[in-house]
Amino acid sequence: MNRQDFLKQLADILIADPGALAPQARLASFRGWDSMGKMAALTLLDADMNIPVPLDWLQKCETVGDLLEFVGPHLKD
Amino acid sequence: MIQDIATHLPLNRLNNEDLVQALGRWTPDEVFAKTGIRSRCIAAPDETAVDLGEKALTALLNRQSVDKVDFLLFCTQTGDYKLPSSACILQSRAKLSKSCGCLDLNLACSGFIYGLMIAEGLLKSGISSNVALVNCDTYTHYIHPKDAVCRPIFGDGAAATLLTSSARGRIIGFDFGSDGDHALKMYLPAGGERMRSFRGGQNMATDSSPADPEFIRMDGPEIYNFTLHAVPPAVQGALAKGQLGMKDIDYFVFHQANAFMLESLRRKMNIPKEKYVIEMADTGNLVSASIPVVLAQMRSDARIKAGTRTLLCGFGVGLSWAACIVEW
Repeated sequence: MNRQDFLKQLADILIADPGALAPQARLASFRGWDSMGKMAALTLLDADMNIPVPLDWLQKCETVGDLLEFVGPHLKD
Repeated sequence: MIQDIATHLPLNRLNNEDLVQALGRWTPDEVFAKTGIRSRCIAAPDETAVDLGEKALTALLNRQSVDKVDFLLFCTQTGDYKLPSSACILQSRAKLSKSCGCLDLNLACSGFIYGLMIAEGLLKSGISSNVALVNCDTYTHYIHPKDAVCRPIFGDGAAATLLTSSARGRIIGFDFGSDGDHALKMYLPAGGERMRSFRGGQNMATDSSPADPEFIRMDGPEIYNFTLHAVPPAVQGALAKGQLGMKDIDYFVFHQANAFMLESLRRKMNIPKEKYVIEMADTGNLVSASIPVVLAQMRSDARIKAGTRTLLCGFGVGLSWAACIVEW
């Protein structure tokens, strides 16, 4: 999965326009970042991209940039 | 080993229409899409886990010619009292022999598998000949009406399983584990020694808050993440201990946590859809009763018959998990 595809899927989870996903954007500011949204993000990372997410990491993840930094090494571009 | 399973589900239902009205968010279709649940079984305010468990156990004993259950295991986290154990109360209510051993298990969604483990130990050691395992909770009494995390998920229900020393329903490949480092990812703060009763019992007064310590707290995403870590190795562990492969299993019956979580686990483990059971749309998450309630239905509609192999896996509060394989 490349960065563009990841951002598109993340935008679906956050119920946001992909253009709104600036690295500094706070995840809590998006309507989709509720309990189910976080579970969907975990599914995207773990089940779809095969990137195990350490327990408790999600609580420290505050911005889109935090997510991008975590998945960066696993993206194709 | 497993001879029969009987269930009892309360008649009261909470459907998605009433739920969204109470929560003031989402639509009924959105709740179904997020959880796979249309309605939940809800115990009446004065109906306890012992009450529901008694009905399931009575149904079991009425159709089995077992005149002497010599051990009763009751898995619940919502017993009638802190003491005595609910199993002793149930022994009296079900008119079991006074020579019957009675033991409560304080476990949630892994509790059915743990109960099977203990029952098998009792039977194989010759300590018991007929073990009744009752699984029942009334979590909905401990969930605040405005709790948008727990209330869409949980229901109430009971299952009673009879285990004997016969060769039918052989159980193999027990695999289990615990992670108390994350025990407070899902817990009920008040009622134990750390915080004695806050307001008492089942008070759902409108002036209370979901954050009050008398109500269950669940970090849903972290619990979900835990299952992604714990369940695949537990499944592989059960298969390895049973010297079987994925292809040897006819049905994978996991704790019915929520449909979204179950579908993610299925995809992660590449389990074929036709071998994977998700049946909670009209019950909700029944905690430790969820697996036996599904097994009872599968026995009833002949999906489970002699020779069928089911892999069971329970996971949740504790954090705790366990898996095993039943050869019916």
